[in-house]
Amino acid sequence: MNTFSNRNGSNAVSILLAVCPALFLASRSEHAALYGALLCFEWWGTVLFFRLTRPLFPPPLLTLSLVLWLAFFGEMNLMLGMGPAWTASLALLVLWDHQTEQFWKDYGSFFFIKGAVLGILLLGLNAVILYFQNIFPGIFNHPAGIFLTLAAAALFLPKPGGKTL
Amino acid sequence: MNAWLFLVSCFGFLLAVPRMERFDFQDEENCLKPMLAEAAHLLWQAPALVLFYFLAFRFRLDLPAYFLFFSLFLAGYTLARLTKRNHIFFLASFMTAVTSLQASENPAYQLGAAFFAAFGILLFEWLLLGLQGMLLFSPIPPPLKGWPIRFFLAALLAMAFWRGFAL
Repeated sequence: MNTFSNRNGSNAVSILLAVCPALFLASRSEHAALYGALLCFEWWGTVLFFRLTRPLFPPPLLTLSLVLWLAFFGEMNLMLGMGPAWTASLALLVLWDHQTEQFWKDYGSFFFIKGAVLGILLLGLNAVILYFQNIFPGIFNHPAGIFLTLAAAALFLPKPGGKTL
Repeated sequence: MNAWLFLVSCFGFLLAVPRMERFDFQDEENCLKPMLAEAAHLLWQAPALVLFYFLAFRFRLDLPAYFLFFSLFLAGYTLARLTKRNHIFFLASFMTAVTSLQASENPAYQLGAAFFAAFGILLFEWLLLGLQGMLLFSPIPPPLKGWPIRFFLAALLAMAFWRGFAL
């Protein structure tokens, strides 16, 4: 199997698994590992929270609870000196997934396994964010920085069906 | 000032996301009319929420701040449900109203800011969809196709909006 082909998700994940530690080392952040662990927990917690509360609330209330949840973790991130950039990008990602409903179709079953895979994917995004922040200080004070980071992360996403655009 | 830029670009992008697959400005029935209907709703609902704040809480300054958020949330939710909008739309109008209310003490400024921020969101959405359509027959490198080019377009648009359209 060619690990570096981009035909399906598992290969993309394996690429990420190979790239993430390198990016982490390259980020040269003092607490990179701590942030990574927090991020995994944050993402897992977010997914678990929504998985559990989704049958209980209509989507707008779910969105509010998402905002509160992210605000809680945003505070935690701020205490750790990470800033709101990560929270904003996570909100974008989760809202996008929640909006398209594809997230629940894809990740509804095998929750814990796929949650772990998603955690690792988000770990990679966090590494990219830390890396970019080190190279370009203040880049996430502008939404273009977040979009560019998401574009860089989306390069690793699989492209099923050969989309034209 | 940066808050406007984040508001406009993030919600403009999020509103554009469901339309990104096969959006066509020429297709009036399936693409253009639903988008214009949503635009019209956003343009009146965001200032309407600010107006609701004026009517309900203008003279009750002793109320805590979270009460304002909660009441605006409920009002925005009700409006969005009555007009059958999705929750991203609701979040866009709610956040536009809250940001406008926090921007100034002047009611005229707050109302105008809500209207023009909503217009900025829509402008971002339309420009993003238009740019995506323009790129349809362009030779994009294969790894950039799909989400990377969309995020890249959004980044370029956000840069173009920087201290330009974003109030």
